[in-house]
Amino acid sequence: MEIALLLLAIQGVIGAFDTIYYHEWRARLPAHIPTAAPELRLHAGRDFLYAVLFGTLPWLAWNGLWVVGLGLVLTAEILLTARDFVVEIRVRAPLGDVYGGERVTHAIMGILYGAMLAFLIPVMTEWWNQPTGLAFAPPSIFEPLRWGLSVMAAGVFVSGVRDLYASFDLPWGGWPWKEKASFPTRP
Amino acid sequence: MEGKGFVSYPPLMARRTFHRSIFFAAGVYNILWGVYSVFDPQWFFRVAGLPLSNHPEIFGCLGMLIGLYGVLYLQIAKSPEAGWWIVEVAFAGKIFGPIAAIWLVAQEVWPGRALLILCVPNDLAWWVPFSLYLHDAWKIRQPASSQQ
Repeated sequence: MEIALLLLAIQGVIGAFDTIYYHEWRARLPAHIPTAAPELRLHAGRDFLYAVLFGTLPWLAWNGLWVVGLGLVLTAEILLTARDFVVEIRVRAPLGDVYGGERVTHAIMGILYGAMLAFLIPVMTEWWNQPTGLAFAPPSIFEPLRWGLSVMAAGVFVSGVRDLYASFDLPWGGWPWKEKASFPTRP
Repeated sequence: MEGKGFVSYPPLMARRTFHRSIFFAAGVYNILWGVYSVFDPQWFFRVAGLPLSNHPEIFGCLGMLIGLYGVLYLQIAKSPEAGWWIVEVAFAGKIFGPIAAIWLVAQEVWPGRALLILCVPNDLAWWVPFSLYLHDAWKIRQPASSQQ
């Protein structure tokens, strides 16, 4: 379980970089509504799923039938990411395309997610054989990793609310970015 | 104007941005409350000082319903003119819920703290903004002649 959570934490760090550098600083997606709204909603949905993973896996065991629920969360993340790959083609067209480095980041995150699943599935198999219920059973892991993941849960939830809010074109949704009329052009 | 290349849109409601912001906040609040209650269905009993429930899954189910209401609120935040009937149903819940809770406190089945924890943030806090929304939604449903 420790390796699965370590991979999840690395995923969280790279995801934070992808969001802050590419989505916010370079593309300034929240300032480009309605064009960027579909992508932002997908990001928000995925952020909420990650908040559940970051918030529960370091603390709880998803025993018995709850494994099905965890499986749905993990599958939904894959489906949202697949949909995001398609939607961002249209959304980023005015920018030229998704940035090259961003594509590489997404590929690394996809590989990491697969590796994390490979270590998580055996744990889920153990949980499947337990009586159904969510049990408070913190796995024995490095304590800073547990708390780091919990902080990431809060951070990714806030990021999701920010993207969802911006996608609704509500007041100050694009803050702190100013662009409204069109995407910035690439140098 | 319809039939000649023009489309008539329904009127937009007053204080539209305010209502959209409120329902966005309500949606996020409900989803957060609901998801947390699914994962920790004993939290209310613990915090209120009540005996832990023998069937916490019922409270978890309540969390699921409240979370799903959050999805409906987000839809209202997108197009507030279309969602008034959802808010009427939700507002009815925000009236009947506290009535039942007050009765339980009066019967000393629940401590007063339970009322504070459950009804103030979930129900009473939303009475004014929901009433204002229903008022504005009602105004745009009136025939134009009666809106003078």
